[in-house]
Amino acid sequence: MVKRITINPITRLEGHGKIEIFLDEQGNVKRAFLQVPELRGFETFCLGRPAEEMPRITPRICGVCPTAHHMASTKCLDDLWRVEPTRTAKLLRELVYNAFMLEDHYLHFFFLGGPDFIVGPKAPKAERNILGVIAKVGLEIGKQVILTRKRTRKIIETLGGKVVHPVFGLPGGVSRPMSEEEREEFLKTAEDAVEFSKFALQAFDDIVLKNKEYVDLILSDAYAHRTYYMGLVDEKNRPNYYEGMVRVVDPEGEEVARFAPRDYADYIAEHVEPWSYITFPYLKKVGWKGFTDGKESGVFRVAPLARLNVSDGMSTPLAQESYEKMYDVLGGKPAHCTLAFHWARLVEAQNAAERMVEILKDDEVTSPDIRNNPTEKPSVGVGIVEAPRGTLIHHYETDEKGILTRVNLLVATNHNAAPIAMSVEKAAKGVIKNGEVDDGILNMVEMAFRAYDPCHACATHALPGMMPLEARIHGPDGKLVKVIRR
Amino acid sequence: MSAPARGRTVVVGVGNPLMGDDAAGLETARLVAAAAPPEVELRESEAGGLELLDLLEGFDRAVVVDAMAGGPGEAGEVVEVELAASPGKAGASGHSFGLLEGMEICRRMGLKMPSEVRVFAVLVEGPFTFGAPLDEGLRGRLDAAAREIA
Repeated sequence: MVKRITINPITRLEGHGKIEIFLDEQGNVKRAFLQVPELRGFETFCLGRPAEEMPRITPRICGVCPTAHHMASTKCLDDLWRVEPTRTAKLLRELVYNAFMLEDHYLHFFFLGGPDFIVGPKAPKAERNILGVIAKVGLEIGKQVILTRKRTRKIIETLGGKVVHPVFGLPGGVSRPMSEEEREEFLKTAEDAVEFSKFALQAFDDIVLKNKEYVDLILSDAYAHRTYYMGLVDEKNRPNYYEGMVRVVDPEGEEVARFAPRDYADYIAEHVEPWSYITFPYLKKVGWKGFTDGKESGVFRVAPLARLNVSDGMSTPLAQESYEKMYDVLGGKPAHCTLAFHWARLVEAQNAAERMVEILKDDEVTSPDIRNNPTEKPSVGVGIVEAPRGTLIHHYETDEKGILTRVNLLVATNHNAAPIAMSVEKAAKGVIKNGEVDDGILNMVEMAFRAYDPCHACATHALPGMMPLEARIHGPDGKLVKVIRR
Repeated sequence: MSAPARGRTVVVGVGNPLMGDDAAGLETARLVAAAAPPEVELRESEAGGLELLDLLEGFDRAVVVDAMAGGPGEAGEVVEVELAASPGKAGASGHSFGLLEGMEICRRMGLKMPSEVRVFAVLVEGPFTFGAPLDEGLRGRLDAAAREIA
């Protein structure tokens, strides 16, 4: 007879987040930070393996953004073997990548971030979930979210072979061409996704922007940080999720760096803290000044709002309109409001949908010319893409047979780790006064980091699949005085 | 597993094949499916959350098998997990998605979810480490684990 056990979501056995909050004598927040479990050893595991296995291995770091790892890895192999993919191969890769960006952004907006906004940050806990979102936006819309996501995932599945862990990118190209029938079906999907993107932004407008309380919250100082920003841009400084130059702007929006992927180590360094497994990247030329914002601090942010902050506009017409409207409301560019990451996510999803239509209308997208075979000897390669959560860097070094001798991966949540720590602390300071701490603070503090759509504990997954979170409040003597669990 | 009277049954193995004993759920699900009638389908998932729900859609019954570290028993033992009703709280990322909550959402949106879902966990020692193969001693106990689930 099999033993039966019951797992409460708050007592999951592996992997949970902890917010440590330290109070001063007056009961106000002295220090707060978020600790997350982190799996180690992935890079070491890769050493001694053939580099061409990496696009199939690295997606297994994470079940949430496998396509991002697959694409960064594939581009890293292009660079490693010094081979330029054919135009059709690039179009197909960009199509798959935009399809992924779109479905991932909608997943986050409606399912994870949506409850904070659409239902409302102060709504009863029992309603602050996706079911609450659906109750507010309507069942039909909920179905549209699921359907849009399902149809875009079919594009990834068809071209990638598998949706969770694609076998698609090869150095110099892709593994399969696209047929005319597939193009027609996918074009319809993309065109419908553009329509859906208008709806999603309209819903944001109706529910969030027409509610002064929400707008005030977005613009409030408790959820703002004046940092540097980083993201991939095209030749006209518009966001491109698949390829481009890495652009960095300062808190005033002035460009301070624009570099090719291979030069990343000249610009980015990593700071280490004893209390965290996560490293904290910062701008090398500005330097690490601690968990602080402003022009003097090398802390930078990545992900949707950061990408729009480093850009001069969007590459597609509807997204351009949405971009202009967003910055009008936010009071110009760069915008420093952390909660506006959610809004930027919707603008990017619209851009991704429009870009998919453009690609699928390109005559060359169904060409059989999908690969240039590598002929050079490998040594060093760097591949960078914009994951939904921000800049993702894969850096491999090999011997002349292509066996890996060094692997360095910098993932988006790494880049945002310092800002997330700062945001958690600032939100905690904003809501905890005179030692008064109640359950409601947990959501206000959580909102600060949920906006970043962090992907902690890559590759951990467990039943029942929710990340438990606890806030541990310490008194002025450092002793634990209260634990609040979700 | 006996043949269901009506409807379709899926066995879903969950785990990461590159992460040591975390592969125990995947391996055990394969064994369960191999011993089951041919109409029982096997699906494998290296992800949780919504991806897991995608695999359940359209089936009448589902058996989910995962690995669990720190559970109540010896490595290789099987426990059936009764999922507590989720408080419905969304988490921070796509990782953070409860199975019960997810199925309820899908049902409300008109998607067919299995009316019967049983979740089993194969107990493992852990910790899950990248690159280490499935423990050989544990592998030897998976046949018995699969028979218990069936």
